Amino acid sequence: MKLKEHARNLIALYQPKSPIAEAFRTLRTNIQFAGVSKDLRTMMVTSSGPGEGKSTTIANLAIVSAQAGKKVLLIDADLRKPTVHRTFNVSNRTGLTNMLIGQAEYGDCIRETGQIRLDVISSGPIPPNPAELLGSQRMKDLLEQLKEHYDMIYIDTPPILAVTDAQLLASHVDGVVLVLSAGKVLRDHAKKAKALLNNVGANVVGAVLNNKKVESESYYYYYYGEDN
Amino acid sequence: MIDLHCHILPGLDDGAQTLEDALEMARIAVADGITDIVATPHTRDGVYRNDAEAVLAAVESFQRELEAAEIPLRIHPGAEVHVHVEFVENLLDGNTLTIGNGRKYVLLELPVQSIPRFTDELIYELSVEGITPIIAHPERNVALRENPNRLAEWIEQGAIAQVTAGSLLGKMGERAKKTAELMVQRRLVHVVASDAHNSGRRRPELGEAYRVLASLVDEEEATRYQVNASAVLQGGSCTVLEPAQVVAKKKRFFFF
Repeated sequence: MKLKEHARNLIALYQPKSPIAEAFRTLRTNIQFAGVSKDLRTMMVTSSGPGEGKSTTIANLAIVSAQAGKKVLLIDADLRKPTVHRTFNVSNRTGLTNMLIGQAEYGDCIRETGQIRLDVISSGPIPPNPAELLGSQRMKDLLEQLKEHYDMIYIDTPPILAVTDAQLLASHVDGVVLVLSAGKVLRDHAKKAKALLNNVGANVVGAVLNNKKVESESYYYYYYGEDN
Repeated sequence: MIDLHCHILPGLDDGAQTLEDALEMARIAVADGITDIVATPHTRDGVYRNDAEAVLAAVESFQRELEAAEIPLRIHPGAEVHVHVEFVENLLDGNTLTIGNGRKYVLLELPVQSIPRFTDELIYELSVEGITPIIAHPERNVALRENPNRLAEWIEQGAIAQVTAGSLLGKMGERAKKTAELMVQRRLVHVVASDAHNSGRRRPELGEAYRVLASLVDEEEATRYQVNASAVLQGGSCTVLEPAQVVAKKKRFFFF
């Protein structure tokens, strides 16, 4: 049961030839192009509201980056509703929050996912003051330290309209991707999310339109190449 | 038969107080057909600490006493570990015991009234470490009694649950009995154990409870409880079927 759930969430890992995995690779390429004038090494994903697909998007983005041969780190900075540890089936006893309060070094918190060169740092125990921790100088310093060890760092965050966490982080990272769920997100909310990011001078490299209905007849619905 | 939950070690907790108490419990168990008992003293429950070292020593010395008294019963080390913050760390560091010291199963005790907030995370962390939590007597937890679906969620995550023999027999009260029966029928429990504390009302007997079980479910399912108990002791895998859906109890206005 658990594996099935992983397989669905981590489609780029378990079904690398599916059109969805292909879409994630295209997304990665597009992000690379968006960053030609600027070195994009730390990237976060957020959305206007909950349940739009942030965590799934960033986990798969991290996977396709690692599959392309990069050394990749995925950090769970969604300290409200963390999911990265469950997605990759790793422990969450120590994680980001332990490092931010000086209780642990990153060496204690980095977990290898095994199959590919992708490491993750889970959220750690949920603190009473997530925004304060994520906006801290320590968070900024930590990202700088980790950049020395990884080619690419992806950060999962809470929805931007609900809490200030993502906005605080946006100013620490090189690029922000906004995930919008087709047919779910309100136009005004999407605009508001973008405005909040602009307010802190975030570099929004683009938006992902998620959950778009795909006609089953259309050619790109089918798998590329040979089966399996 | 195998008893996976028993407070038989003398003087470690609120179970057997003296060696004579413990030997009397052992005689009752053997007379009932029990061959193996996992000694599970209360551990880290705020009253009793019972570190692994102390329990292992007590098991060894009690086993010698059983041999001296010529009681054919095998005692295995274990613990009934209360939910506490360093639960996983203490297990991994060897401060607290798993069933049979085998690092595959741990008997997990919840408070009587409630479910601590971090219980979900605790069960997840145990599964990551490859240790299966056995939820001790869920039929006696008030929160699980009101919402058995919480238990179903944990089972989905890999936990199993232990129903207490006395609950099935009505010795722990009518509500515990009703809940125990419901949990058996909904496949929310997987092993039965005595949770014996003495040679009186809470004694180490399982035979009668297995007979009650057999009246509640079909033969194959009733047999599975014994197979599971032996799998737990040997560190093998239990057979766990998907729990049946439990409809949340509606609050009704009745005059009593």
